[in-house]
Amino acid sequence: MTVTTEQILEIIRKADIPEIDADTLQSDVTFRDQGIDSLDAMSIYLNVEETFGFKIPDEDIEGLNSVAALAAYASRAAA
Amino acid sequence: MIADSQALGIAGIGVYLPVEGVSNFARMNQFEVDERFINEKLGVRRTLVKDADEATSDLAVRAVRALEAGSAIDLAAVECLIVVTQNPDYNLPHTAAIVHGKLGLPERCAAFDISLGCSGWVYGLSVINAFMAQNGMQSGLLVTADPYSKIVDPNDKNTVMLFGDAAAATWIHTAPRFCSGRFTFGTIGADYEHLICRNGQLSMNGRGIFDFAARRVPEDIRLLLEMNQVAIEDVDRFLLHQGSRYMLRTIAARLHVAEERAAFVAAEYGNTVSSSIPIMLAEMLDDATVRTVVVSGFGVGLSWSSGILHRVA
Repeated sequence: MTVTTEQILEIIRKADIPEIDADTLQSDVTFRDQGIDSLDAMSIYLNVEETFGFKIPDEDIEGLNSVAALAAYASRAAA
Repeated sequence: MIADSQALGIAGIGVYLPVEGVSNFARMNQFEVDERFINEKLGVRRTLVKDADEATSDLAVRAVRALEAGSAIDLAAVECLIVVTQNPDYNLPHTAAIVHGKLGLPERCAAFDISLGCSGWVYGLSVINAFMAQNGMQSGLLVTADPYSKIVDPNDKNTVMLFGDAAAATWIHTAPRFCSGRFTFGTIGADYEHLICRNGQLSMNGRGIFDFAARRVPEDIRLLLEMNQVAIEDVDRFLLHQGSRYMLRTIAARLHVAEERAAFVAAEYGNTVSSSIPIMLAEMLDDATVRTVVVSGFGVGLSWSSGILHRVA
């Protein structure tokens, strides 16, 4: 299954996460460099998990620092 | 005389907040956080810390004394005392016995502890109502006192910036101001390690707790409202356990209720575990515009419980 960055952005948009504007998020720039802190990132992970029905283990979180990285991960995990 | 179980409810609340505290702004360099993170995400500007020589039972007694000062309770007529804590004075005896002794309560007064964390006051409210009704009691005390300063690692950003010490004493009586409906309860024991005290030191998996609260609490409150046949728009306040401001904003967003109806108000004292909900409710006892209240506690266990309170006319 291929999960696109647009799908991830749409999930973030629909999730109505406080203080995140999905329309201005850049897919290949790290969350941190776009002012998204660890709490906002947790919200993103949670909404992606709920959408695709998988669980991201804590040990996988470190590398999932952008929309693009999350799309690639979701493509593998949701396969 | 057997008490009318329908009439049992909350007649008063006393709160004890320690005077001493630590500003989270003084910890910004140590934990590499900024003012915005403290104000907007944690929500906790200051955590309260009890005196080193103050025992859990002392906090509990001070909350009861505050209740005495602000209500018509007669301690000589108290028939049961429940203390909710996971930081007791000793492994044994139970802290309720120590509090019973310090307050000089009657020998015929039942006294026992409940070992629960952030869900403890809501669980306790259901337990004390049922216990008193079953046994024809008319006056009882539900006391929450869980000072995490005893177990928090001062170098652990995840916990030391959040948790504060406090105690609350809730008077259950046959002349109540709020009565409760049916409660919900839940447990995910498989995830008990997300919030745990090992060898006297607290540790928290922040993501694990956040996921748990964001997933379970909104769906649990919807179930609660359905069980009690209350429409969400008829709820005046959602008194949610004060985990963090970000957590509450997330839950409110998932419930589709305005942040003001499920507010984070613990900025000046912190997450006081099982005392967080009664501290908020105490502020509303005299506010006649607040008629229907949802309470929801969630955390250690992982455990949660929600209830609905109706103001008695």
